Amino acid sequence: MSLSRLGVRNVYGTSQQAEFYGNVDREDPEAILNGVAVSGLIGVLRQLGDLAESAAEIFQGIQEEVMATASRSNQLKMRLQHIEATVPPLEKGVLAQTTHLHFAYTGGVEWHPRIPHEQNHFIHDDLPNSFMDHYEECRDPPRLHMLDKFDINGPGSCLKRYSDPTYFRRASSSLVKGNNKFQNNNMSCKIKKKKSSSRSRDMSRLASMANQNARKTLTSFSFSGQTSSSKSASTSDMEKRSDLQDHHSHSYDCHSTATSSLKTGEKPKGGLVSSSLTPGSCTIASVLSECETEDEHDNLQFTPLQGHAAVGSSCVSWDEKAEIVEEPLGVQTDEASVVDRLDEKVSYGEGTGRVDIENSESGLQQSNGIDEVREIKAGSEIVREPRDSSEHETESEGECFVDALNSIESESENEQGLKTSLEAVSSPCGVTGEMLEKSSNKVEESCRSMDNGYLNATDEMNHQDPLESITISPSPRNDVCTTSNISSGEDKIGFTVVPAPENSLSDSSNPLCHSDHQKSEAKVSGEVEAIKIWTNGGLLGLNPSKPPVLEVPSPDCKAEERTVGSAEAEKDKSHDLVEHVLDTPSLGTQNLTVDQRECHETSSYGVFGGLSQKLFTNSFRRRDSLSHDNRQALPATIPENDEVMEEKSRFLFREEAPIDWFASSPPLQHMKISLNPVDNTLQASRLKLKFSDEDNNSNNTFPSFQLLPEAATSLLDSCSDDDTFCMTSDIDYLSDYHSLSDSEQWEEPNDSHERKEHDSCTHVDNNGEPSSLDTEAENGCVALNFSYLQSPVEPLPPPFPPAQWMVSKLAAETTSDKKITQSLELQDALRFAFEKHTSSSIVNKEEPNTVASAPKPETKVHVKNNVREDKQNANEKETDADDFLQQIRTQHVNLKPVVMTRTLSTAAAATTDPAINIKISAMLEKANSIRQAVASNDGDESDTWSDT
Amino acid sequence: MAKAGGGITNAVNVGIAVQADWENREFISHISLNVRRLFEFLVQFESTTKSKLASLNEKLDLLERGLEMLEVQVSTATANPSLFAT
Repeated sequence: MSLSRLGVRNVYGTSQQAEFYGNVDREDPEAILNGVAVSGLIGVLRQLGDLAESAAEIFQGIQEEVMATASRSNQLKMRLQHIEATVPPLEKGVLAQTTHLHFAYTGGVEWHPRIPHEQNHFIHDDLPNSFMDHYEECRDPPRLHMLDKFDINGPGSCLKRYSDPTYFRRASSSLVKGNNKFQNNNMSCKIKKKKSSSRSRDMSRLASMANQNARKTLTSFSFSGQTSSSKSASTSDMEKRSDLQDHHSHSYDCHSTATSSLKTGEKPKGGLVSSSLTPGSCTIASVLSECETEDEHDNLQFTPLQGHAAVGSSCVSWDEKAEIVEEPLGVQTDEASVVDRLDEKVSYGEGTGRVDIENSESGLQQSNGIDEVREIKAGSEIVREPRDSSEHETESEGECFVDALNSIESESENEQGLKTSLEAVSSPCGVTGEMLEKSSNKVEESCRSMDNGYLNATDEMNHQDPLESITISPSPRNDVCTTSNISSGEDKIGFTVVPAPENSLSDSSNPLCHSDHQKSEAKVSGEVEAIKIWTNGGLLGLNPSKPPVLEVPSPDCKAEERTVGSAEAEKDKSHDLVEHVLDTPSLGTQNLTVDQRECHETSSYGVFGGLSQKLFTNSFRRRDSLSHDNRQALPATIPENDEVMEEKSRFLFREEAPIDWFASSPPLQHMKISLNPVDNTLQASRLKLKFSDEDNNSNNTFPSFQLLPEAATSLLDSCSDDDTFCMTSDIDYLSDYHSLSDSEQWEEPNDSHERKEHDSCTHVDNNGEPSSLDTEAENGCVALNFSYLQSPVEPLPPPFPPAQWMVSKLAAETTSDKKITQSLELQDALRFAFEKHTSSSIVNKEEPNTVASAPKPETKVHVKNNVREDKQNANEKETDADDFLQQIRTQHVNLKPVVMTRTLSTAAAATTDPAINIKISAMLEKANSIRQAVASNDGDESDTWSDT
Repeated sequence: MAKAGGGITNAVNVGIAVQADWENREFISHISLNVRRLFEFLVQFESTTKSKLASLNEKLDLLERGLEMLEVQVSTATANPSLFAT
């Protein structure tokens, strides 16, 4: 095969040229030479002719392509002109746009080009000449159409059969399938041989006829259709099968096949019906119709044998077990079995089987009694034989109609073999009734085992995640029961025939199931209770907290405590974390030394850890210089410089903080708080907040209420327009300008901690013993807050407060100066009242765990923390929401209104001691309502409140 | 003499005929060679022409695609005048 497109032949290469000098006289050399010269010239002319021809072709092709290109270019030109005509107005519109941003949000053009790929070198129908020459040189196929008159399929069938290009492909695939079928059929044929040995009588004549017909169909099939290859592949197999099944072709087969095959609606049988239109099937039908009378007689003869073999269940042979394996053909096709039964009743009017549709239907409805079961047993023993016959019938039909049904039948046999093998395994005896019972028992046992297994699984699930198992556990069990019912409804023989044992078993199994289930539920409920303890209120994906186990603190935790007087209350509880120390009454103050310990592994950390953290962080916030005399050293574990320690030592409580001892511990991993960043920030800020006129006064009652926001603002403006800023105006702030930013920096988290602390206090006040969930929720919030604090604090100072706020402060400076004296008076009065409370509480300080001593610290802490109370009341709903970010947003409240309320409360406290709390609470509520109204009106609370 | 002279003349004639044949053959070979050169030229011309046409067609394809995109965009823009409503 030459791929050269054009070959230039030799000048003298043509055979015709020899004519010019071949026929010349040999004795005349000139003539010969002239002939050779003429032939050369002719060759040249031929080459020139070829050249002209090829040049013409070439130029023609080039011209065509150039014309096509020119036409395309012209089209492009036209289109371009059209676009040029349409673009200018659009361009004007685009240029007229002021902003082009909206073009970015407009939907683009959903357009996809359809690029044809026509320039293929080998696939395109424009084959090269060298290839086309071979096609042209091919001969035509043989004139097979002349054989069409001998073929059934009509004209064109023979030509397609012998010149079908897909023949070899299908033949190769069918050979592979044929080998598999042959192996499967050998297995079935061995079984059939054994089965046929006891039955072969005078069936040889019918068998030979059937075989004859089958071979006729084979021959007819070999001529018909496109599947000649598959047929040829399976011909040998089917011949063997047909020879074997000659012995199985009962008369009853011929009788019942027509009905059952038509009514079952199975595909193989449908195929038989359709194939019965072929001549071969017609002959079979005729043969079968001839033999109906003999078939009845044969069935009458065979039935007792089968019944005898079925009754003698103890002496079941392997042959009958093999038959059992083949039974499910009738078992699965329920409709077919019903039809068989009907046929049986019709043909055998004596009613030996006693099996009717009602029984089967009653079996379907699961309302049968034991009598019916027995009846069905007896019936099934008799019915079994027609089922066998129906099997053989279908098999014989399958063998008659060889090729089309071979694969389907083999597949159906395989499926049936699989299904019946399960039943045969479940029932060692070959008796059908016992099989049914045992299969049903098996099903029930399996159901029960599934229940038990499921319960075990649920128990396991309960161990893993009890809440989920509670919700899930009932439903699958019901599903199992329902599935058993459904399956019993579907499998009419294996499941519904034996209702009584099933019921008994179900009754027996149900209590077990219920008992197990109840046990599991009990376990689950117990675990649910445990879970209630373990839950942390679903706080922002935190793990459930450990149950509150108040352990005795380890001595190593105690070792690091350095306090003036170790209180007795901390010994019973987690005193390794927080110590509340009462000073002598002469001092008039109670120093609370917060011992920060990082006992993260102990579960006794609990609320104490959180509260200690909160209190400790509150100490940072309350940077007022009170009595320098009462300073106490902080624990050595906290690396701090002296200034920070001083500020921490100023954190003074008049008495014990009301701590919820019964609260469950929050997750410890969230309670790990390192105070180093806090210290660093404090060191960086170097805040020294002092009262200018109260440095000498060691009995300052509420030093902790000298708040930071005022420290932030007081550098620029000493006083605001409110009374709240009287104190701040008196304060001589030694801090530098960084105190502004630092105060704001600490505003939000400290505020949240204060609020949390007060939440716990209010729980104790209201309920005495708060619920675990609430405390856990609080602790979770606390943990979150602390985790928020755990974030590395930026060393750089935070940004300055807004200038608008400062301007508002400056404007309010003049008005606040007038109220300084009033605030000082109120402060003194409140201090006096508070000292009176502390003196009364020191008496009961020896028993801090008792209930009697509990309200006093609560009230006093309430008095101390009344500044925070308004914020807490304002944010109670938000704490319930457990949204940390929301809390931070809502807690971003300026403390100026708080101070105002505080000063007002101190003024109220100065009047009368018993009426202090009442008045303070009333005023706090009023202030809280005002502040909420202001906060709701405007997001910038500080400005609005200070201005108002 | 005549026979001898006749023989000589025949030999001369044959020589002349052979020489003429050689000349004829040379002429034919030259023509054939030139014809081959023409073939080669034609083939080369075809190839170069078709290659250039192919490149041109490719460019035209690109132009057509781009132009088709432009047409679609322009048609979309003209169909939605609200986009340009300021």
